[in-house]
Amino acid sequence: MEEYRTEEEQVEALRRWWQENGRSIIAAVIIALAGSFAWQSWQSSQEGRQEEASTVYQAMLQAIGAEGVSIDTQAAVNLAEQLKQNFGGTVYAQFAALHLAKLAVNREQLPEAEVELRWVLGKAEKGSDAEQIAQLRLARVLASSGDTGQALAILKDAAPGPYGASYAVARGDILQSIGRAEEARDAYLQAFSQAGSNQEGLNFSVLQQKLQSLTPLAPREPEDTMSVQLDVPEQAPVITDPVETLEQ
Amino acid sequence: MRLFVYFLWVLFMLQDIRQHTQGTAAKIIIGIIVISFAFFGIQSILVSGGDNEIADVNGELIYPQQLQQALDTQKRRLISMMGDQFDPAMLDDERLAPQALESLISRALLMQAALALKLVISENDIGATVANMEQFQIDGKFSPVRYKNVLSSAGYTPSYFKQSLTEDMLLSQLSSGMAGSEFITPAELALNSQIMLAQRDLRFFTIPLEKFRSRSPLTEAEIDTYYADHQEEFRTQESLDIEYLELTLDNYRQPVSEAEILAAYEQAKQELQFQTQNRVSHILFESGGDSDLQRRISAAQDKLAAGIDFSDVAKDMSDDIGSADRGGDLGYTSGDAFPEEMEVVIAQLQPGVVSAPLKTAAGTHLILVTERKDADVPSFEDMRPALENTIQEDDAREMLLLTVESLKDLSFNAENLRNPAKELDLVVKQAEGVTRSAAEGLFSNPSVVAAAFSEDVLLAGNNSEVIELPGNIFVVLSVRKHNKPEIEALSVVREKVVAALIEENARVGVLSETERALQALQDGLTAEHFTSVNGYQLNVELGVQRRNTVLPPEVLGRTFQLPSPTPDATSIDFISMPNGDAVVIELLSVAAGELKSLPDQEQAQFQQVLATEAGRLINYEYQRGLRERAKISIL
Repeated sequence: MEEYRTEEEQVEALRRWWQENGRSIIAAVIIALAGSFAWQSWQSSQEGRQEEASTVYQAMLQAIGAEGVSIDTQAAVNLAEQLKQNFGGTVYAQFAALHLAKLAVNREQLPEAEVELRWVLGKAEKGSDAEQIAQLRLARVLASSGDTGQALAILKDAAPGPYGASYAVARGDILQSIGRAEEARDAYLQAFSQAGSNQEGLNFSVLQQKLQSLTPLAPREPEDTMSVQLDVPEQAPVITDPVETLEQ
Repeated sequence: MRLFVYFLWVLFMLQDIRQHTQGTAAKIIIGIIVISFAFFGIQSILVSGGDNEIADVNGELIYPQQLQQALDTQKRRLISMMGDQFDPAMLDDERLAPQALESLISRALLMQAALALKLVISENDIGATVANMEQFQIDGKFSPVRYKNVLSSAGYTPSYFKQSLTEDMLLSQLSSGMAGSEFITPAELALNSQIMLAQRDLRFFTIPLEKFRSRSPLTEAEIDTYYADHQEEFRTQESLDIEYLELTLDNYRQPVSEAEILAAYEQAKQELQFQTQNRVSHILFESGGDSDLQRRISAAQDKLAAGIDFSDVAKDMSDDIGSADRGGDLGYTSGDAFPEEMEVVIAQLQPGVVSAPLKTAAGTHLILVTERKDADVPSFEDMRPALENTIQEDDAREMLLLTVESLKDLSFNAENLRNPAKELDLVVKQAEGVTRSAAEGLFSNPSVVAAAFSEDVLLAGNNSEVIELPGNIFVVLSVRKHNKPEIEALSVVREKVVAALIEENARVGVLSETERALQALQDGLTAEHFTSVNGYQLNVELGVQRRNTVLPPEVLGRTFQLPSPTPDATSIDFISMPNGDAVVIELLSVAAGELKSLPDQEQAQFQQVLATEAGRLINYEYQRGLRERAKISIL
């Protein structure tokens, strides 16, 4: 930096510097302020919209009722439609459509459910949880309306993400309902293994009943009696590794 | 960390700017910095993260205080679940901490997911939810006073309460959307009904073990052979002979002087008087514009001055709708039910006199004490035993703890317990035949047993550490003799051998009878015939479902595992029961289940349960997915 000899020179230098640059500094400050305000107000308006959507969604849940036993279906449907129309870009709208699909299935209006699920698939990000869940439900709805071919194709082509066990149960149910017992059995076994080591979240006994109905045990012959171990009472078979045990 | 980098960057920029103050870009940067300071404050840059976090979930840190809070909640839950039988070992932090940390991580992941999906809860909705919660209501209406009281007695501040409520609502929105929207299609419903509601007709009869017990007297040779073959089963249990010192409060009780008891009585009286009970009514004015508030208060005061009953004025004018209906009555307080400023006024107020307007967070109150119950001071004689006991215990505890400290040193260095006992004037107690599984007494305590059988005590022969047990009991022990398991002579265990042999013969008898029965039925004999000839009771059950609760579960389970009968032959099988009986089962026919077989209400329930279960799996998989995608490090 230059050396200034006197105070006047310093003041003069400062003034000169301000004359040269003052305008652009003020401009910069104003631009930055305006940008910041615009950004903040855009943010808060976005947040405001999310909050509005949240309120409507909360009301919709209330109308559906706690136990899923619908208290006021019509009100719930209206609120869900409102979410889809006015807040289509939010996740709340996708949740609402998933609930509309559920309400439709419960009324056995499968084509309606199909429309809602396809709407979710159109809105949901690729690879998102909502997409993977909607995909699965779409396949099940199609299967229930009789189009098991397309249903199986969807389940086969889709990437199930973390929902491997749910996908496998759905495949097993579809296959069993059309009498492809062997493949159904494989699918259920796959559900067991997909559910992880402690099979958390999976209803073990229902799945086991389905497997049982596909693979009955042969009754024992009279001469088998003596091979029953004397001091170990027979217990219901516990499947630790279902694949291995049932494959025998 | 990110902030620190930002801070360095700013420093470099400032340096740079000093050298190139001419450039327009530099000026814009100065502008931006000035503004960022103005808007977010310097602390936004200077605050640095603490370095004592215990886990990092996608960059969100979890601190020891949070873990402690989660642990405390967990412990309270366990204690209330276990009641009297609670085992301090269950409350061990080291055992509980991993679980508590897991749940904190899950919650953090779910919260992050909710925020990433831009889920929010507006202030209004939180307010509405709070107002709808029953615990904050009096007679079905929200009461701000009650809200404050309930929160403070539960140890929450309103802001902390609101925040955790917000989180709960966010998480429930998330799970309602993903899992709560799960359903069961008509086809799935039919399939599940077909299997889960399937019906089977069967006949069965029991071949009881009892029938085959002690058919013929046993010979000595049989007994000898059985003993020789099963010697391992007739071993004594491993046990220890133990020497131990036990210190309890009772060892150190000393007589208490009368003067001490009297002094304690005087002190107790002082404290009890504090608990005078006041029944309080109030008229609440929530603030509306200042002048309006003032006007309403004056109007109420005028009415009271004119002799109108306080309860009538409260009914007309109080903004606390809950209490207004009851003439402003808020019930009794013993000095801790209301905010402190209110309690101070209540304590000083003469019953029947209305207070001056008092401001609290809820609004402005006029307060009236309608009844004052002075604490009943119990007589010295009544309180004497309790006071004497308390003083004795306090003194004894001090002595006890001092002794325990010396005992720790002495027993650690001593070869056995005799010297420490002599020095501390204690008695060495003996216990013989202590096994790992004692059911009662001192040695049923898991920490005592563990110490006795520990390597250090049992094998190395050292004194144990001083073990603290609930109820101010301290124990130190050493092993005098290790009774290893030994095979007992036949003469000692003859009775047991005979019993076991009879049992085994009976089981063999049951099984060969079962074989005979199966063979007979397969050869075409009817079950009716076989049972009536051989004296068994034949049971017939028609339309049995899996959820049947009448049949023994083993029989039910086997029935549903059997293949369907063919037109030519029924399915015949047997099952061994835990008590040694055998049950022969003949499956007659099977029918696929139908939803329509259920009453209407149960049909809806059945569907509901299936949908909920499918939702539970989705929820589980969703959370597992979050975890797989997350970067979690536990420090």
